[in-house]
Amino acid sequence: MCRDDRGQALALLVAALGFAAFVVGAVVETDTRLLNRLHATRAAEAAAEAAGGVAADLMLELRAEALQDHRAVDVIDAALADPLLAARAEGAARQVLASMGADLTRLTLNRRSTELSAKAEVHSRNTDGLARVGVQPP
Amino acid sequence: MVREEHAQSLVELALTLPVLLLLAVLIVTLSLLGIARLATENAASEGARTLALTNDDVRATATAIAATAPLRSDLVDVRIDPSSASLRPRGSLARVVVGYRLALPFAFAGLGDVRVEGVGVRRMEFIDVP
Repeated sequence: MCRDDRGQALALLVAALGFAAFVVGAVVETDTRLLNRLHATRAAEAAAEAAGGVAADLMLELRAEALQDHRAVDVIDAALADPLLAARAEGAARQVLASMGADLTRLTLNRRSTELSAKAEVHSRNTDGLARVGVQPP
Repeated sequence: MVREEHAQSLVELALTLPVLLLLAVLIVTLSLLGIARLATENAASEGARTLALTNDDVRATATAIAATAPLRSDLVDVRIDPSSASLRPRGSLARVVVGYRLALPFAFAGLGDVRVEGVGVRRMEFIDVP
């Protein structure tokens, strides 16, 4: 019995070491996953905001032109009809994402009720992120 | 014989306890590091967003520091790039870096502090209307 007791501390230590290794691994893994998720979401937000900013600039230009010509215009439809909007918005989104180490998967610009919607889907650090912003017409 | 066993238990405890305590400290430290990484990343993004909307360094810095909670604000530093508001016109990119000095309980081993950084980037949206 006495001899059996002698190995108890060693066995306990080995078990504790194994458990601790598991806990450390789990903590690191969870932390990395949370951080990647946060980074991807924030990158998507930045991309959607950049694209929304480009759309807002264009809507302002279209509104100013319409006021100058004394005509009524639906600036959301007019902006979406502009063939350059998608390319400019995508360029702005990609520029932001490049500095964040993320890639643009898809950028969707469309009308949502009374606002222009910019939805960005991004891929960063093996994680997907998604964000949408709504731009009110001026 | 009984005395020998008691002595042996004491020796075993003396050998295993420091290792177990070290492991516990390691797990707590890793958790704190994770919290700091998440908080700085989040704060940098919030600071960059405020900067993009206001082009105001003071407000962006205050927002970033407030967003680092529950970290100690006196150990937080915020860096804005470009550093001058006039160098950040609408459409340009602005970067906010939030740093945090996390004190480690391993100073005896030469590992005093570790610096954690979060980076946020936004396209400037602010328009300076005269």
